[in-house]
Amino acid sequence: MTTSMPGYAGRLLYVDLTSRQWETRPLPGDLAREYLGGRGFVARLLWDEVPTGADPLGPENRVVLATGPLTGLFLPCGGKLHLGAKSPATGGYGDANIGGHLAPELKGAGYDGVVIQGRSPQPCLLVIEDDAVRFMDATPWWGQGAIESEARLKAELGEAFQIMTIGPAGENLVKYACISHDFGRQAGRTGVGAVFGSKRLKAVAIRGSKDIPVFDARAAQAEGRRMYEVCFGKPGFEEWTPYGTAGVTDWVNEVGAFPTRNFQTTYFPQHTEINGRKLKERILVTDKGCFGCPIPCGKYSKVKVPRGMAYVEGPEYETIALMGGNCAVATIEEVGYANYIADELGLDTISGGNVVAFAIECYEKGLLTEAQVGRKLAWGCLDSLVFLLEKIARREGIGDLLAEGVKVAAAVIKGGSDKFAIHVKGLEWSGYDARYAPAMMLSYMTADVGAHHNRSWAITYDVAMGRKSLEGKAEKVVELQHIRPLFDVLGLCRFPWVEIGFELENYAAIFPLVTGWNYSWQDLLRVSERIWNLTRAFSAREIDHYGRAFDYPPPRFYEEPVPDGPAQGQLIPKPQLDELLDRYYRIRGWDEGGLPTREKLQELGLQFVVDTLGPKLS
Amino acid sequence: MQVTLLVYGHAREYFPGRAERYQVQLAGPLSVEAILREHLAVNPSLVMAVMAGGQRHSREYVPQDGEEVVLLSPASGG
Repeated sequence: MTTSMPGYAGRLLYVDLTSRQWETRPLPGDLAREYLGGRGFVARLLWDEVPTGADPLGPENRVVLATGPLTGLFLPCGGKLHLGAKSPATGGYGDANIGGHLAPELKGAGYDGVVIQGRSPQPCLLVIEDDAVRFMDATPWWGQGAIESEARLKAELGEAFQIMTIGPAGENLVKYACISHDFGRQAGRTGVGAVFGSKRLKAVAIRGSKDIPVFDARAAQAEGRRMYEVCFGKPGFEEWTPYGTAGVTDWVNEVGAFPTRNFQTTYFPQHTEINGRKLKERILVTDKGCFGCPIPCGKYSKVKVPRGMAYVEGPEYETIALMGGNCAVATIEEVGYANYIADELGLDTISGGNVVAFAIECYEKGLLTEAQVGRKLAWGCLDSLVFLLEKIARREGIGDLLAEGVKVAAAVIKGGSDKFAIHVKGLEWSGYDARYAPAMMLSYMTADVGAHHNRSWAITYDVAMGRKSLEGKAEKVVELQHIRPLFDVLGLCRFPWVEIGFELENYAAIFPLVTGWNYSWQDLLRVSERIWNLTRAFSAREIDHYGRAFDYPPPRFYEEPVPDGPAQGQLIPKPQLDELLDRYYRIRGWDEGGLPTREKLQELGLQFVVDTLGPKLS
Repeated sequence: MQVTLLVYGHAREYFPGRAERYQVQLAGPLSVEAILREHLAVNPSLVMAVMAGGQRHSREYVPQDGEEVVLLSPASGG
């Protein structure tokens, strides 16, 4: 029974890179109670701190880093850090999260979150060491690879520091640049790395040594131990680790959902050459886990191809899907090597794989020429892939256009390329073609950041309940959109729940012991719903005419039937997409145009949103 | 003969009664795929892989009498 706000460090750190000033402020109690942490803090602080109409790559945009109330404690997988900013990829709400060891370190330094604004006069490194905050000149590291920079900074600052870095892609404001940590983990999506780059922030290094206050430490420790024991007691809990996320590759092909040749089809005949088994047999060096993890899914690999040799974390499933099948790259070594190149350059492999595949299809269709590109492009060609990644990261030649993402690139290239620019809201699609999976399709359509799977991964619901049926699909998507992001709020990895069936009730059991607040699981889900509506409102505030028109997939998915494989002939016609959206909006209490109603916002305690969006709301 | 199926991961939600453990009585050898379809009325595609004897197998694996096998759910990530 310790501080006034157990479960929290009790402070936020505000940093202005322009003036090199910083200050700490007490964590507001209502922020903690109503938004809890992580994604909740990111959403509310962006709403409050980012001026309406701010340039995502301007000094007025903010990057918010946030931990959760369950971060850094003795319980399974409390190692997630959430980051967010107004997204340069979409112009709306953007966030990403990262595992490893950053979040416990930040909380241990005495901060629940960091709000960074401004633009440094020269490349800089932000060093947070307990109560001391300092700025270092990062000119020596500017232009270096993300992982190389981390290694050099560790050597300079000390191994105990946890470090996040950007690579050349972030420095050059590539719209899907990522942030790297722990030699190969990434906050990959929505262009948070470009926002770092726009602030000339090469890296953040964190070292913390403080205790984290807990409401009932003895009971929380006992509950944490019980949670680990439940994990260890799950049937075959150790079976997840050998292949990690790569283990799902064959299954996604089996159900006809594997991105192949820029989503032209959904089955990659060579998938068994890039699956988890091949990873384990041919390139795996060791398993690698994040803070407090009993089921380490990370894979550290050594790959050798004619271009060279590299150590890389991964490849994870998403990289296998987007840089493997989607670019028709057919060996695990080549996928791993492309993964390494993207990691050093600081590029999100999901968007990066989409953009390269889009460019190859444009080339194939004669919409891009050899003269425009600077070389021939071909499916299954590692050299094509690496060539484009390097051009993109340095914004050289065709790379300058492709650095904007497929939505912008299609608008410039024209020739009908918008039909196969695979994105929602400007964010490229992750690793599941959903033409034969309506719930998964709706998940992508309505994810608040754009076409990302981690808000609602509903494809097994489609498999269980019927691949063509729309019945119950919208309901399931809403349910998952409240459950899955709640892990990002609490500061947790969701894998124990997804992979080993760890029951959600366990989290509700430990939450009051940590915070002293008697929130039920339903109370926690209510917070998640509040955040979901706030992030939608943020995008509506920042983007003209935001709403339903932003919730559709590219025409390929409702006009082009899958040509072959297990999903042959399948698509979801546009009237069915509308039926799904209508039902989804009704369940959410949103209007037909896809915006929350005043009544719904007020019910969720979001009167300040009503006051701001006013005339846009019904 | 009897085999035991241990369901691992979130796909348990779609198994009858959402149990973790199913003991199934069989008239004779049957693949996991067939057991799922014929004895549990579960779409076999909800199982990504089968673990038996420390090895990973496809759903075509045929358990022996008295054997315990683990069914892995598909999972997202990366």
